[in-house]
Amino acid sequence: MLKIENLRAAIEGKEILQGLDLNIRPGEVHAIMGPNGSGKSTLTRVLSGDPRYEVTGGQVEFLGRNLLEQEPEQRARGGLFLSYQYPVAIPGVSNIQFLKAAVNAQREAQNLPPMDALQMLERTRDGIKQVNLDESFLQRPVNEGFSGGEKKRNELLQMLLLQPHLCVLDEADSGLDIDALKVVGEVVNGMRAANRSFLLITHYRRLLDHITPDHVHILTAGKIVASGGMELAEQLERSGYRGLAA
Amino acid sequence: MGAAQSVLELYGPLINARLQQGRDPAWLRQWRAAAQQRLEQSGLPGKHRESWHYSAADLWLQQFSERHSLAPSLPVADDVSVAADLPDGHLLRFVQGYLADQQVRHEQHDETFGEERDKFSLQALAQLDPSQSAELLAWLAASEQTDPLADLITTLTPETWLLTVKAGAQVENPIVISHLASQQGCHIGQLLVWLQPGASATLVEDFSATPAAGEYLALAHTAFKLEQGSRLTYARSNRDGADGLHLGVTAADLGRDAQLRLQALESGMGAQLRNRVRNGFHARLTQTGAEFIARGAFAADNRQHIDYHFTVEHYGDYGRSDIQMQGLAGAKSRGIVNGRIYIAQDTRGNDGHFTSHNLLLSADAEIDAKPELEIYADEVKCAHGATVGQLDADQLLYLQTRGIDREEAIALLTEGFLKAGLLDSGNDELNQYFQQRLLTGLKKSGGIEA
Repeated sequence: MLKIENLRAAIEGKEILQGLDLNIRPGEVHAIMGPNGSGKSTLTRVLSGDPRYEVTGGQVEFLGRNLLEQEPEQRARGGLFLSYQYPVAIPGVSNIQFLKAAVNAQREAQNLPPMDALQMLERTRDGIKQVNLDESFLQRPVNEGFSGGEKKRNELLQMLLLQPHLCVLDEADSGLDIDALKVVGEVVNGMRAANRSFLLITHYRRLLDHITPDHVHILTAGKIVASGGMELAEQLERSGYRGLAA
Repeated sequence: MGAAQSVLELYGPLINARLQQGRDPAWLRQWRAAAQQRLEQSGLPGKHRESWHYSAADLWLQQFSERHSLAPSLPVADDVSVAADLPDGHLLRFVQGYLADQQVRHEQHDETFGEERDKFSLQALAQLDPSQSAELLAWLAASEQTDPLADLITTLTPETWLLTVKAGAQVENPIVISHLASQQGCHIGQLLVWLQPGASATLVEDFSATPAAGEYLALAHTAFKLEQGSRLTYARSNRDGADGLHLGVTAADLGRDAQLRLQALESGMGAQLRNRVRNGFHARLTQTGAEFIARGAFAADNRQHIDYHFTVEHYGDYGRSDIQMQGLAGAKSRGIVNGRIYIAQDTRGNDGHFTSHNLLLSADAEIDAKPELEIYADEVKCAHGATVGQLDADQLLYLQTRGIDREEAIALLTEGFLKAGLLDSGNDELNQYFQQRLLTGLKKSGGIEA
């Protein structure tokens, strides 16, 4: 699904990723944990195609194609989804307008006819229930005035509607209460499939209590320094990042 | 000899000829003559006046006069041109500045105004019976034209029309006034609107042009007298031709508890736009509880010059003015939003807000945003602000990471940005018309540079 080899990336001249390797197969759930400043968000930004980040070395292959050559919208249409840690607000653009544009962009890539507003409304209804949002939110501007939890639910709704092949969730648990965390777990677990993979970026183990990963990686100083299963997360819980380094 | 002086001299004989025409009654000739005197003292609008700082109208008029006559165009007989995409309502058509609907011209309102014909009327100002309109005449006589453009139009316009909404009347359907330019030349129009106490109405003035209009000059003056408790929703929509020069001025006197809600929209027509639009809005809140709410949106592109100026004066207590303009400028265009809210001494409880938010979509575009406050009272709640920026990179990326291509993402963001400049008129169809005008304006914008 995703093959990253010796990835190096910088922002404003400062190199953050310093030779990162990662291999995610179809159907797998990977978790990357790391201290602040280790490069977790940089990784997600580079994968999404944020032009502010400069790739200085390495390769990334997604579904057999060179990801780094693609524009952000091409990566998304190809099945890559990033759930943002801090989703941006977009005044003046309603959620339904935005979701319709996103879904129809996906459908165009699949040579399917576009959905109209009514079809879109029908399609979103199930998703809205699953993420515990009210239908009224569809008329509100994207993420404007949303609580942190609502923003995360909006990310999950988009993920449900777009049905990506690879879902990258950047700190999906940050700022969430127990109930909201359960929703994240339910949605992700409900979407697990043989042809879909997940990359969970997180500080804490608690998300992994709801979504059991196949592989856990520790990222420090821009490199993956340890890989394993849940036992690695448990060890991290006991010793902390410094203890692990020691 | 400066440009302003030479073109004022060109206007001189035209104005004198107009004032000497016999068709105006004495009181109306007096009103026009007073405007002529003020114009001779103040000169034509141009950069020497602070309120016209960004639009060299005197120079533009001189340049126009080198290619065309400044004399008002003549009416075209049986011109049935109709502007496209107008909202439903009571339609009045002006072509080249002249009222084109003969039935209305002869005060046969039944077909045009239908069931609401008893609520309002349109008549030539010259036909007004002074003995029955002392208050209106007093207003005309006392009105200090603060904009020399209004004085120029008053002295030169072939026709002045008076739209009166009767006391207590609630006009349900919008009154839609289409001003169409269908040939080259100078088109001048003047409309006075009088809402008597307790009256309410919605008025749309739509300025457009056919491709045949070519290079034209439109001088348009609209003045409102809003009596106690009257309410007017007014939309001024400019979709001028590619080579049009539109100089517009709107003035309003608001009485006690009167309300004026304004929607200003610019969405010019035609490819390779070079047109210039300058709209000045002057509102005087003369008594307690008056309200002036203005929302506007424009998308300047190519080599357009779009200038919106507001002057709002609070002379009564507990008045409210709230202006919000959203603007885009792309390619080599220029957008301007400026003006002032003035609050007089010894007034109480006035609120004044003036904001201008703008996006630059090109390195060659220019925006000038200068909203001001001039406050002489202690008990006020006022704010003003201006922003000029570019599209938010995070917002753009967010949409792209959902598969929306860059061009469509820019369109969504710019549409969303401009929507903040839309007014809720309370009429769904009219709101849709505003939205449509906005989208038309966006379509002509080329988006940001690659």
